[in-house]
Amino acid sequence: MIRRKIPRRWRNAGVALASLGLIVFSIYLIALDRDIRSRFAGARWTLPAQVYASPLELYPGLEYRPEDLRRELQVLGYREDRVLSGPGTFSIGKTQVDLVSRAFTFWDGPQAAMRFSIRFSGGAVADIRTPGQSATQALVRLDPLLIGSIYPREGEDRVLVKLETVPPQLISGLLHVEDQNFEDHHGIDVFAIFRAAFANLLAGRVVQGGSTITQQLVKNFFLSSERSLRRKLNEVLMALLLEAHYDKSEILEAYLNEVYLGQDGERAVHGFGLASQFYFNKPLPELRIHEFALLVALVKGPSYYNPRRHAERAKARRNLVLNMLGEADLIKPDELKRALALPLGVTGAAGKTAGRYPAFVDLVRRQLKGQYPESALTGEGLRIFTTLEPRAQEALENRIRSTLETLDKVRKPKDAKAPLEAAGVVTTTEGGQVLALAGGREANFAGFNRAIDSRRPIGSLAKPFVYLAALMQPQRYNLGSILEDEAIEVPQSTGEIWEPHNYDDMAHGPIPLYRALAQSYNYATVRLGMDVGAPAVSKVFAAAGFPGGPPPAYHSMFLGSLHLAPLEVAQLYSTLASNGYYTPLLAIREVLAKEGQPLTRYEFNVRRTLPEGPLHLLNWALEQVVQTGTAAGTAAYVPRSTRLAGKTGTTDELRDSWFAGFGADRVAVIWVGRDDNTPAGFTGASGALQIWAPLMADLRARGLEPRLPADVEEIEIDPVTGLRADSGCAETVLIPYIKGFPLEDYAACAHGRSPLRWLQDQF
Amino acid sequence: MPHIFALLWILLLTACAAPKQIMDPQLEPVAPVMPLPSETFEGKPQPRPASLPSYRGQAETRARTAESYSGPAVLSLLKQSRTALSKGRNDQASAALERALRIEPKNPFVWQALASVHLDGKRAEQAEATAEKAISLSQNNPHVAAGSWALIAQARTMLGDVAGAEAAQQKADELKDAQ
Repeated sequence: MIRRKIPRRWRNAGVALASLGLIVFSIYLIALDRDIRSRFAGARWTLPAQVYASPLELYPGLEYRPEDLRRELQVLGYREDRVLSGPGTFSIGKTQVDLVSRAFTFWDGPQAAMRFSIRFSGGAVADIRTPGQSATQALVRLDPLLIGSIYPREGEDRVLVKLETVPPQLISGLLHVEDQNFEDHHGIDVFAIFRAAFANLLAGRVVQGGSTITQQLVKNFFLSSERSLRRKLNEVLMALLLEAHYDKSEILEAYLNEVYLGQDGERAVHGFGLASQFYFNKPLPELRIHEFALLVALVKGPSYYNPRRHAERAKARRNLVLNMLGEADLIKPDELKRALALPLGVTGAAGKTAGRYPAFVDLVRRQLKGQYPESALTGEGLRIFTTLEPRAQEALENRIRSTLETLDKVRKPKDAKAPLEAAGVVTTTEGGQVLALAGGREANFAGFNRAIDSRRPIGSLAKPFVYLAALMQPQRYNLGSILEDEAIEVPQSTGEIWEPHNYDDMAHGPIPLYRALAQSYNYATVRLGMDVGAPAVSKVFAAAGFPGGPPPAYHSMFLGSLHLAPLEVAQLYSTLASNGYYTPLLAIREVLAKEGQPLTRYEFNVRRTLPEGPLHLLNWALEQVVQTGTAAGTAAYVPRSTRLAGKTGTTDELRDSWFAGFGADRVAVIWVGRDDNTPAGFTGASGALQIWAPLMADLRARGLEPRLPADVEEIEIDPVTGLRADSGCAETVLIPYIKGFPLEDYAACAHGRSPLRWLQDQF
Repeated sequence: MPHIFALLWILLLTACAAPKQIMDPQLEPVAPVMPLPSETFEGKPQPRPASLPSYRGQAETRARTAESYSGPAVLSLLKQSRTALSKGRNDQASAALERALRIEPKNPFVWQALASVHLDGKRAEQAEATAEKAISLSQNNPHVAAGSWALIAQARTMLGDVAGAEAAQQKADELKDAQ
């Protein structure tokens, strides 16, 4: 053997080269290290904001039935369980519901899980008790529904879980299936790799993976399907680095929150916390064995084993996991047997999005915009408490869906290209809280949000503002003032002549002011508007909260040439409903930081912008719309004793069908039409009202109980003529007027009993 | 015999009837005034009662205190609000009252309590508007109105409106005397 002498120079060069390599490798390692550590921190701290509905408050006297509560609890993911085995369970009887609430941290502090017995009687909550306490509860608040989250553009969504809240069985099961030596290895498991390689060799294809939890975590951080040697090497190096930096529990917790477990449209479902909500609609600690076995099963391939799309495949894999747990004595044989027999238990139909009420969440997003930077919303785990009332939202969506189906059957123009659409908003009368918002008939589809973005002419919904402008001049107008419903031509500044028409193309002659509004007569309204002047009407619109200040004072505004979105109409009508107090509509009540510190609170903000007296008169007239006017059809759904007020709106050629109205506690606005602006084929009464009226019944809207303002008195009128009456009239009605400006024209019967009436009474 | 009287009575009435007739053809027809749109497909219109709703018999608000007016849920929230305020938690005090208003939106006592929480939080404009709201809803119940006018007086003082404050205080005093 000849030893060749290596020249010293070469040797030095070799050492230098090796050193250089080592330096380059070290730099590379440092870069990798930085990368993996920032991702690790991100996995622990980057959290989309969570959006909650307003919590259900139960109290004696609340109009509520056991079935209502059952539905609400099911939406919340509570499980029916006679023995009430833990938080999130309930049992239901004929007149009583027992439940164990979930612990939850509200704006005003944490609330522990508690057991309640709620007794019902006569369609209302009778009393609420906590076992072991003698006193009854005055008020109980349930944990609010998680309706969605605001996740970043890349679409990663998660609900953070803490290791100590994860069921121990889930962890031991996960480790047993995915990484049996997790506690002992340093990031890679050489034995597992060889075992997998051997299995794969035998099978002739890849049947087993030897990746540890740590490696899988790294892989999830840099999710890509690329399979190269370089990537594999990076993965191994990063796994080793992670293990060097962090302890096992930190790695495990990060894994539980990072692992990819499903896809929901463009939203990627990461971590067991969100997966639990996504597949089972309840928090992770409430999952039972067969449920978390499915989640463990999904780790191997969330789309291949997608339980909503490939139920049998998913069940086979779940049962495999269950059997592995049984073999390892992680579950008892009888538990195993029961679990194997259970269905998957996944909620929702295939392909249903888990983010609820996308139209409402869209509104929340817009309200937050400009107040919080995008990164704070998508990354800091804010908790956003909204005004959404799930019952109201469900009622709105259901009524829109079912009524549109009926309307489609009633009238479907043959040449209609766009389908019939609808949008709606429900708010409180006081405090301006948006309780429900629907952007279209497909409520689960986060598309064009008509409630916010579809601005359409409001038609006769504008009339109340014309009449209010008139009633604000009590020396000139009261509810009984006689208007002329006769054709009118209005010359425009452009030289054209505007010729409005009545819906029935008839002139109705002299008519009391309130009835002209109740019957929505156009001639009378235009004449009244001309008399008070467009600028006065424009001012009233502005005071009611017209978006962006007073609308331009065109005459056509009297008949609603103004374009507004349903949400904007709700703003205007909520000012009417609260008797002239303008309150900006809000979708958010509170924003909390991740740890629970309060950040922002959106307070009730009231401002008197319209005078109470004239508004009292106007609302009385709007009640007549519902009682005897164009919205009399309401009586088919809401008993006449429940006093509601509102207005129909119809635009040219029946393109838009509107209804806006309110009771004592709810305002609702509905629009029906087509996206291509072709005729919908319905009036306000035959279209939108058919959603509004049953919706108000579903909402159990309370009837108006107006209180007389200091400057208002009432007198009797003859309902036939709308003129002032005295005890001589057979039937009289109390009509409000501003003190000092009573109705002056007397009805004929005011001077004695009318002979005609007397005759009518005789026969 | 009674028939003859009846006939006479008719004749008499007819003779005395005012020249302006109720059956003026220009006016709307009697009773069921209900041009329901023809395409209403659901809920067949029922015959309407001839009378419009009466405003008689509306509940009078003469309760002296929140206790005699409010339900137990609202009372517990009023209490919660007072406790929060005594601990200096103004935000939680108003949050509790807003919860109460979701349950009883027209309860003037709650609006008045909210006005005083606003005042405590130095939100004078909101305090004034909210107290005004309480008065609107109180239907001139002197027990609510007196307290609310006193709050308005304080709010106006805070806003530097001396004359307005005096006027409000005067109203509060008058109402107190009237009780």
